[in-house]
Amino acid sequence: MNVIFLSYRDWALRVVSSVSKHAKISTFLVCKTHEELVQLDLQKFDLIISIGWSEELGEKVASNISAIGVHCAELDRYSYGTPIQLQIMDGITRTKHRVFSFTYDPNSYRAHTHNRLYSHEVDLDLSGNMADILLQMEKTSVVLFNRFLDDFPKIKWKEWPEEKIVRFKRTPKDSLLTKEDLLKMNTNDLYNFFRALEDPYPNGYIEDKFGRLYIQKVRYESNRKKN
Amino acid sequence: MNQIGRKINVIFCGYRDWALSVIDNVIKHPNINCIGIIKNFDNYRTQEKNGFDDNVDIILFIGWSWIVPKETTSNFLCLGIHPSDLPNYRGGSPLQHQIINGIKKSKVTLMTLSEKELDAGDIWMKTNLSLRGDNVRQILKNVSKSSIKLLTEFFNKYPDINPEKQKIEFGSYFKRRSEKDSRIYFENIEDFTLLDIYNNVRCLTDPYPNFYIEDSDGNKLYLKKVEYISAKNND
Repeated sequence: MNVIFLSYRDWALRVVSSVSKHAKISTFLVCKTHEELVQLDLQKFDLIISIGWSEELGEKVASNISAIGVHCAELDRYSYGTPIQLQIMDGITRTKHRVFSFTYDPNSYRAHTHNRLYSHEVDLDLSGNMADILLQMEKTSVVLFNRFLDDFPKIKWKEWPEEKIVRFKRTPKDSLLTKEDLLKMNTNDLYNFFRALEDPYPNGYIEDKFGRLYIQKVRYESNRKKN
Repeated sequence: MNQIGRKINVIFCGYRDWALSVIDNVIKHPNINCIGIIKNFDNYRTQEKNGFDDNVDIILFIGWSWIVPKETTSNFLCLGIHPSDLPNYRGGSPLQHQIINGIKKSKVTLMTLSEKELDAGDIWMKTNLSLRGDNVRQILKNVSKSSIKLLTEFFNKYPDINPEKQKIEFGSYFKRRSEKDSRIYFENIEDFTLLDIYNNVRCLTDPYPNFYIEDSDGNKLYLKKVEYISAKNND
């Protein structure tokens, strides 16, 4: 198989380094920008494996080659971007990491996953700090892509159910917590808010008229006797 | 050559990383003859039991947590470094107390260790200390840098230098902080400005008991790493 890896983040490049050794891959090419991707002759390749890629592939790419990625949510609710952050803030501590197929639909708000098809999945633990979660996702990404390649081309696609609840992608300005908001939250909500926004994401911050306090790392100790 | 007519025989005592970094630098001073480095309390006790060499001119304690007994302080010149503008902030947790009280510029003070009262000995020399930094590691780096400057100047001058008595009545004394002092209650959070919270967190990063917010159910939210950006950008 000739494979294109879409990957530019450090952790994603480490996944490439591991998955590219799969026995079914004869040649591979690492593509770090969308501009590089659209200049390639896609007919020469069998599959695109996207790892931590933020941009939409677009209709031209998605209709000319099979493309897969991994998404860290029990879709459909968290298929609109920033799935880790939204799930943590919603209090979810256990989710799925799934292989999905890319399609393109200009009328859909979903990020990459317009057709709702997935093939392989593993559990993902969302408790702990962001560094722990990202390390875990790096490892599970390797497992998921290797399983996909093991089964390729006989992939059994499953469809996840559609739901109407939309949780839109967060933006850096959503990292602001006013003192008024803070007082309405409990300590566990605050823990989830700040840990979901630990590096490398735009850190959570509180602002008053004198300045801005960025909360970059937190830890939570539950009083188990009482809770 | 100084007035002694030979190099100054010094024993260094320190175990913390920042103190060892100070020792590593100061030991190279051309006026010093290092006759020992004691890096933990057990070795200190053994040395004390066996008796210090009579040729020792100075025993220098850097970031030392244990009380030095009278037998040692009365027989040898024992000096210590304290990270405050003495006689202010004598006693325990001087960095934390100063930072939480909003002090940004302080001093490191070289003093004679007194067996009578904590941090109340004669003052030999002081130099500037910046209390800026987002965490204890950065703040201790400042302490280390200032201590090296202070001790280098001291050994340039010693023994042509005289200490001054502390005017304790004009200073302040603080108790060593405990783990419970790192806590604020969630219902009191409005009493703190963001700058107050920043100062608390940054001086209580590891290895100190981290700053935390405790709610009425006893759940604790620890703030381990923060950064503050002033609206004026000059704070």
